[in-house]
Amino acid sequence: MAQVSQAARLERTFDWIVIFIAVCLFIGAFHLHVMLFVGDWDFWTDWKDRRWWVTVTPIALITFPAAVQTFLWEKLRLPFGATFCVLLLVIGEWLTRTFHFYGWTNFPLNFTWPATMLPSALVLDIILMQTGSVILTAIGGSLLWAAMFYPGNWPMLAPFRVPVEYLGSVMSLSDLQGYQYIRTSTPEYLRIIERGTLRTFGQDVTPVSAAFSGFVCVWIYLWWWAMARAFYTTRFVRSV
Amino acid sequence: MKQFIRSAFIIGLLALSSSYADAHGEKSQEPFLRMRTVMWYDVQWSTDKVGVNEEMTISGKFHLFEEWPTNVVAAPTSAWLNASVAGPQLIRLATYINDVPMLNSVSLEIGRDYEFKIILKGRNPGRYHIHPMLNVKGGGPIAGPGQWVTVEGDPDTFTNPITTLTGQTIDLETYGLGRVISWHVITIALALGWILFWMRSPFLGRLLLVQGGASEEELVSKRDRIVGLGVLAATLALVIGGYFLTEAQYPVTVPLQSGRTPIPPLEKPPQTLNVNVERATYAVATRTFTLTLKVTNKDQQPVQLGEMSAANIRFLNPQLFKGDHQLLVEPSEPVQPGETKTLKVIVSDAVWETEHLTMSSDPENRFAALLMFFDPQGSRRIIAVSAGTLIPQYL
Repeated sequence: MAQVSQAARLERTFDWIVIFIAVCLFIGAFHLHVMLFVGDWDFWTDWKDRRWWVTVTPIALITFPAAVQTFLWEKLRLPFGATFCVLLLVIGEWLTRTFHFYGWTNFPLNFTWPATMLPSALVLDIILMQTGSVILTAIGGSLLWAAMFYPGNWPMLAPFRVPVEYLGSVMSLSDLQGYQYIRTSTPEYLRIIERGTLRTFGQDVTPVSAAFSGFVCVWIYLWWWAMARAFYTTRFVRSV
Repeated sequence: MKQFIRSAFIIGLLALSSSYADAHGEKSQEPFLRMRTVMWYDVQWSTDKVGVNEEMTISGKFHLFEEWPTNVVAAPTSAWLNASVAGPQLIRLATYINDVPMLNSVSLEIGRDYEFKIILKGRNPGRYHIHPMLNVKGGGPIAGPGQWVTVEGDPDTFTNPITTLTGQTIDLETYGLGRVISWHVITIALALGWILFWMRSPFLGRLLLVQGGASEEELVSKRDRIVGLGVLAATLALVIGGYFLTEAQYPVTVPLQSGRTPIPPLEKPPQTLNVNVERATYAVATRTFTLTLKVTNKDQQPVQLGEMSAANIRFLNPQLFKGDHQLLVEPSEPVQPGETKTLKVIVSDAVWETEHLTMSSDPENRFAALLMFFDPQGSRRIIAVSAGTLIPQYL
């Protein structure tokens, strides 16, 4: 009995060691990946538009979750790969925004808050658990992943889209934040945002962007799933 | 061990002896860029001390040089009037070019003059070197002259009140942050709950269970699936409910705004002087810059060269003005109406070296400046001149 109890404690300790390493690894690696691929679209409220932000963010963010889901589900039958990755990402992003953007360079946090994909990640994980199917998760899960991004962030973003008249022009409060809080290396023309050229679908830019993003996410998901399968191995476990 | 301590001590001494970094790299920008693109003049700062929540103004003019180096810097068809300062230590309340508010980027015309004004408000105490700056698409930032400004006061007292079109007055400094944090806390709690649910028992052992061919029910039980469906339903309800509730709370919203603002340049004054640069040299040993000009005065008044402005440095004729950097004009007598005269403008000043303007290590080695001639009544005529290569004289 004592031996069983000791073994259980050891197993649990090993669990925590692995969790600690994984937390450090993914807060760093996934966060770096997102900073490089999403970057300004996530840094500033005046880059969170209806076209580029909605398209790029889900595509860039589905990568690591797809790979970690592969390992955790196929090897451990644990359906929290996506949630785990995105949770650590959000923690890393808040650390950066608080200590670097606010603490070091004095940008107000209401200008630099990070978006969240936690609702999308939960849905992706649970679809995998319920279906047990890579294909259904890749198609259904990825489409929902992208589709839920904008509504999942709208509660935070909506207040910043309230209009204001400033110097004779109409701006959103986000535009005003971008104008007032000086960024010497981010002139207005540099903003890659919707410029009103997606005329085919009238005013409904967001659903079109989300649909396209979802379509691309399906392929990115399958690609990263395949890469993870190619690289993960637990052959050594048998010999322990 | 002793070696290590000795090395650490020396490194520490070196670190302590390093001087305070006073500037932010403006001298590192190539001299031809500083001379041959945006030529800033009449730049003034309303104050060098401003309190938190107090305003200050930077105003002046700039001339876009006729021979803008389009081979290396894109023409300013997309430009943005900015302020070079270390982040939002002051906020930008307003910017104007020729009295037109600059909320969007603008297309500017080469060879023309524009008047600018930047209104800033103190936010974070400290001492900052502030320049007016023009960001040019395909060219980067082109900074004007800078001045140290001290912001004093308590940063916690800073407010930024704004009244929206929906009639709400908010503080843009903190607006919406509580809502952002709340939403993140809710979603993080849900996510953490899901993860902790699965980590309630040791999980690495599952590796062997899966490899050993354990049943699906053993690994993911019916209860787990019910909890999963519950979390799925809760997540969807949160997102859908949150979206519609937000729509009800904020029925009036606009997308991010973009656009271009057309700005006509200042009117060109009649050109009453012809100035041609015949030669420009720099004597390295004596740090002496010499510009040979042929000036034809088609004006009714005699004129005298009062100032040469190059790369944001003002060289002043001591016969007319006092200043840190002086120039000598030979012959010093004014150019009379109808007269054509060859003038030598001589500047002996260490600033050519300290500001990295000698251009000897740059592939583009062409000088340009704004020359300002004054008549006896003090009226000014401004001419932009370009020299060919600045010839260094080593002997």
